[in-house]
Amino acid sequence: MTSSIGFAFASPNAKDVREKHEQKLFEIDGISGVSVDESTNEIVVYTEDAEKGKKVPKSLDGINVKQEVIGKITALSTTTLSRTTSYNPVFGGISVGNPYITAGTLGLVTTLTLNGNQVALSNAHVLALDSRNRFLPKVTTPIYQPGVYDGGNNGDTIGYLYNYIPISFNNNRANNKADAAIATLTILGNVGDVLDADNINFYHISGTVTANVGDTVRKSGRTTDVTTGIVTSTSASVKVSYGGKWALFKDQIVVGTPGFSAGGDSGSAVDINGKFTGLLFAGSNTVTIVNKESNIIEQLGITI
Amino acid sequence: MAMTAQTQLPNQANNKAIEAARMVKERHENAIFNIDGVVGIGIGLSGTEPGKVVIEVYVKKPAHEMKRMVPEVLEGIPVEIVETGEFVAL
Repeated sequence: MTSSIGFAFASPNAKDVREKHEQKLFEIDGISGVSVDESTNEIVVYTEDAEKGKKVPKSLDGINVKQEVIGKITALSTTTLSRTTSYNPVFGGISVGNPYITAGTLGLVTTLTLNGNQVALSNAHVLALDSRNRFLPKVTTPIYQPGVYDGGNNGDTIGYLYNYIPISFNNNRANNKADAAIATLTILGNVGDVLDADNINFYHISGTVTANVGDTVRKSGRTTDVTTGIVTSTSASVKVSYGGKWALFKDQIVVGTPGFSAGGDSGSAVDINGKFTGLLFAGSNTVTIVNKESNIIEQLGITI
Repeated sequence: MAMTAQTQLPNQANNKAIEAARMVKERHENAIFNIDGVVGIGIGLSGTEPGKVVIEVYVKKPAHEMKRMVPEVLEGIPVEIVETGEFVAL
């Protein structure tokens, strides 16, 4: 009984009045927020600017309404980057390819030792081989980012095939050591930057290191993003299927962690603590095969 | 200095063993590749004996089928069969 009498005689409460009118207040254009100042029993309306505040009532149900200009409130969201759309400038870890294949990964933007010009590093079978595994002409073969499978076309040309390490196919005596190629860039690139696991930030690759059995390695690829794995062999010889052809590769790194890579990750730069250790190019259901940096860098004439 | 030397010793021993195994592997590589179902050969560490350097033979057929054809030891280096499946360009 006492409480009901208390209610009946209480002066209007700003909290209750605010709740009653909040929806109506937000319908006024230029209102960013509504609150209550309990110390003064007032309703507070936050506005984008003083002009827009003119439409706000001075009082509601006997409660004073005061205004504060705070500007427009925008959500502090960070946009994650898709690995299969086009970028300018380009960086490591995104879709790339010549017009005749599906898509692989742009491993790293690096520079030519000769003149410092920027180039994109990936696999030969991503940049330099057609769908029948024949080598394409240097200088005139365009490189799309993203690759054709991800919607890339002539308008997405980021540069041209510049150099590759030849691969000898269907040859038992072949001494292939790398499936690697570079393309010149006609747009800008971010040298050494690779898209990180959150698809927002970048990690940086600079310098090189030799992989040893037991090392933890990392890659950033078009399909499986950033993954880490353990090196289980560093001098493997493997027979790799190229859809109709095969090639024998020697002196390869084996990463024995299932799920380290999948189709489309070809060309990913593999690093140990930010130092380049190899180029991902092949795999089976359980392991991934990586070319050693020492069989790539000088052969292509690049500096990492 | 003493600490560094101590921690480096096992690695050096390991590298020596890996290099020795690599030379054995090279001598037998062609013969191993001629075995039907073999897709690769490498040097790694034993899956059963920690720290032991072994020659790994990668196969695309079930390991129990390959056991009859792949030697267990090459010039004193143990051989382990690893069922990887076929390697494809990704």
